[in-house]
Amino acid sequence: MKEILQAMVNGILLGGMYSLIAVGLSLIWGVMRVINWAHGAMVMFSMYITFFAWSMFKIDPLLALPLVAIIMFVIGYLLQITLIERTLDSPWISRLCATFGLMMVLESLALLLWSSNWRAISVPYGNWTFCIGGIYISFSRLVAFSLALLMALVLNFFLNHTEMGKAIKATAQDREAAALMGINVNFIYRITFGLGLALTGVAGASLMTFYFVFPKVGFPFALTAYIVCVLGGLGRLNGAVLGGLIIGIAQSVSAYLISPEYKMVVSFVIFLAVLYFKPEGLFGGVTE
Amino acid sequence: MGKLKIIFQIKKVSKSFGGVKAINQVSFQVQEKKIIGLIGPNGAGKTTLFNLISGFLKSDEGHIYFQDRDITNLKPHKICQLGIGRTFQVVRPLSTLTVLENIITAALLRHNNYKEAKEYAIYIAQITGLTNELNKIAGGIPIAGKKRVGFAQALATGAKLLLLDEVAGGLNSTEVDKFLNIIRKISIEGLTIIMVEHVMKAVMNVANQILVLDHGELIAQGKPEEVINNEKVIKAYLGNQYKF
Amino acid sequence: MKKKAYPYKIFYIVFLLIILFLLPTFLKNPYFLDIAITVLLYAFLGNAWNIVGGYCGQASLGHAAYYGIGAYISTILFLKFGISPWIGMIVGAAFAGVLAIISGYPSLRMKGPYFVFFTIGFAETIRVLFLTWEWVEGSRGIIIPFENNPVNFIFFSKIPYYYIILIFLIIGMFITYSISKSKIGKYSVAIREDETMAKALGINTALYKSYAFAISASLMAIGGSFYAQYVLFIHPNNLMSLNNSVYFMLIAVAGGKGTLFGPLIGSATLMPLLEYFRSTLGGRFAGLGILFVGLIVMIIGTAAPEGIIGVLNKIRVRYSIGSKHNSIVREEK
Repeated sequence: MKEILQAMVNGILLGGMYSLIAVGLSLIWGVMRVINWAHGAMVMFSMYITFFAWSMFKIDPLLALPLVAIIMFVIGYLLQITLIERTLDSPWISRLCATFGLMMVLESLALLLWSSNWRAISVPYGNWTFCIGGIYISFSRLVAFSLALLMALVLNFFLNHTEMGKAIKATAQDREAAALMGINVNFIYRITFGLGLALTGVAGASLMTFYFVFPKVGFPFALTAYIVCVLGGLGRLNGAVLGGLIIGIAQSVSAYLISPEYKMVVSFVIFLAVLYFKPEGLFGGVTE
Repeated sequence: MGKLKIIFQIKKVSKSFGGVKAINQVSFQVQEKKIIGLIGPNGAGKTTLFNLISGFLKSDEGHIYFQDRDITNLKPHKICQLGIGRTFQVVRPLSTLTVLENIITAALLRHNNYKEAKEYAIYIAQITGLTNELNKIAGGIPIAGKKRVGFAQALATGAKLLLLDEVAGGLNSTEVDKFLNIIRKISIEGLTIIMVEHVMKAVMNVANQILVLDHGELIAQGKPEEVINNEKVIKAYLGNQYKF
Repeated sequence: MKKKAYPYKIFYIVFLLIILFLLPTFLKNPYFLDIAITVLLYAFLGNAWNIVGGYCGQASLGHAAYYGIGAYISTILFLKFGISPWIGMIVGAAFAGVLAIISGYPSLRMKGPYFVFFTIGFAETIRVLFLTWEWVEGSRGIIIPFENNPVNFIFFSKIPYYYIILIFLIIGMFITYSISKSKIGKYSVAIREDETMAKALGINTALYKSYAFAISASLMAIGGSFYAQYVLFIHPNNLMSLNNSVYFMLIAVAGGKGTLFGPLIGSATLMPLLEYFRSTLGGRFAGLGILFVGLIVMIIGTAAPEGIIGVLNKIRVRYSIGSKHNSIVREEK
């Protein structure tokens, strides 16, 4: 019993990461109807930035986090201008090619520049663990989880209570109406893509406090993020947060109860079941 | 009342979206070879009615009969196969194909052989005045042309009942006349037509009977002259401030 | 009176066929022959994907599952039941076709990205299932013992493999060609262009999507069996990977999705790049091939969605090379 509880706790903590990555993905889809197939690669990229900030300048990942987030925001903004914008009026397969091609380029660049060796950061608090009622909680994972939750709250506030945020929501609902109201849709798109990538930056930096990076590290995270998005409903940010926790728990518990290899199978079964029975996801997402 | 059969019947059909009743207990009958005009102010539910008849929407209650067969809630392709063809208010040609290929695709329903389908398509194109457009890419022609392609496609499926949704919209006077001649001709050849139109001249000149829809309800039906003077109809279009 | 454009295309095709059939006499080096076989194999697989992805517009990213299933079925039937892979290949194809219809059923109503997600999820599930399935050796993979025995579809030299895959490709492309001229093909294209409109034209879209899927999956499985007999080693991660699925799509899209020669052109362009970098440079530089392919894919996404054939067509129209004008309308007075 206690082991299952432990698994659940670990699952929740990891789930926070999934939520964070998924929220960015869901936001980009919700506003622009673009699936960013390079999202996982962006997580990988921000992890490398965090790593080099530490290895070259001795900056702690959590301190580097805001900087990484800003860098990823700028990269996202520029990518929107140079790449994504050209595909917005083309059929969706063009967007798939553009973002998938980007992923291929990023992963192979990472392999080229930094080799396939795993890189990790050793932080002074890396081994800190709490024990509450027999359940062990790793400090770094807890911090990462808290940051993820904090980001979700901040994003929520931003979207609902600021001018820019409301403009983003308006554009997501109806692009033409928003334009008619004087909203600069292209600018909103750029901000959105930047935001989505900034969130991957937060996730990447947080991950480096307890995980390791290698060129293909983004792939399993991205795959899970897609599952989370569908589970929560594409475009529904609350759903992405909740979905992340659910998948995190499901993976962790099934890894414990069955075997680690099966955790992806369980994720996929959930995924296929949602697609089949309730394709709009738990919260009723945007289908087209 | 005539010797002509009732080819189409709709009985007490309703459809709601959320809490809003878009179609409320609509009932009417159509005799074969007649031309029925379906008019009503914007938002009256005309296209919704077409969607219900052609199977793209599920009705909440009521029944629809075509050639004595209950077609209520059958799938759209099945309804087309049974002989009801339609056009869409927002035109949807198969954009990257040529006009000819568009019509051939429709003709393949009743002609399994590609060659036959092509010949039939050329014939249909001739009837609908598309002979000179056949090699053009359907996505690149003006809207009036696209509407005509949609009309040709509905014809080419071998439909016995045609649901035409604002095919005359955007045409100039001469084109409207040409269009009406085509309608009359195919009606004589045995087709039954229900046409939604805002172009009053079109519908009044050619229809045997007019149905008026307002807020999802059938508020009047009868000969064009009768309907045009119907108080309820005038109120529906112009609003209540016009007193009589 | 009908005017037909002079069928110059036939000459190009014959010319191409002659070159392809004579290729092994020029490529004595087994390394280059291997690349050629890979190009033809992926052209075959891209062509299979193209049937459902290009012509019918159902862009599946889960086709590697059928590729792998074909390989596993023919291999298991061979190694555990002594059935020749020639027969096992047909069994695999039939099984894949049926599986495609069954597994495709839930996805028939899914649109856009949901459909893509579903195909990815399905393929990954299959892959992980095979990884953990002991009876098919799971994560150890299966080695097919080498013997020079054509009856068992194993050859000493690469040359027979080359001709076999070449013939498979020709047959595969012929199937695609026949479909494109038939009712199935025309209906598939209608579904691709506008599924709602297709329904309004009396097309049972679920049925025709299933047809396209079944044919596509069956061909995929045949390709898988070929691969198994060529490489003599199969493993879920080599066969059923998302990577492979994406390559099948990319090859068709890069060449020109929905066209007959698209997959061949795409494969001939992309595969040599990938192969060259993968085998000559190793380690870190293995990624260079993928880098170039990634760039090509990005360019296609942003500037050339109709692929290489699309670009060639634009050039031809721009410079008005050749007369495309077929007068097909009968003049009636």
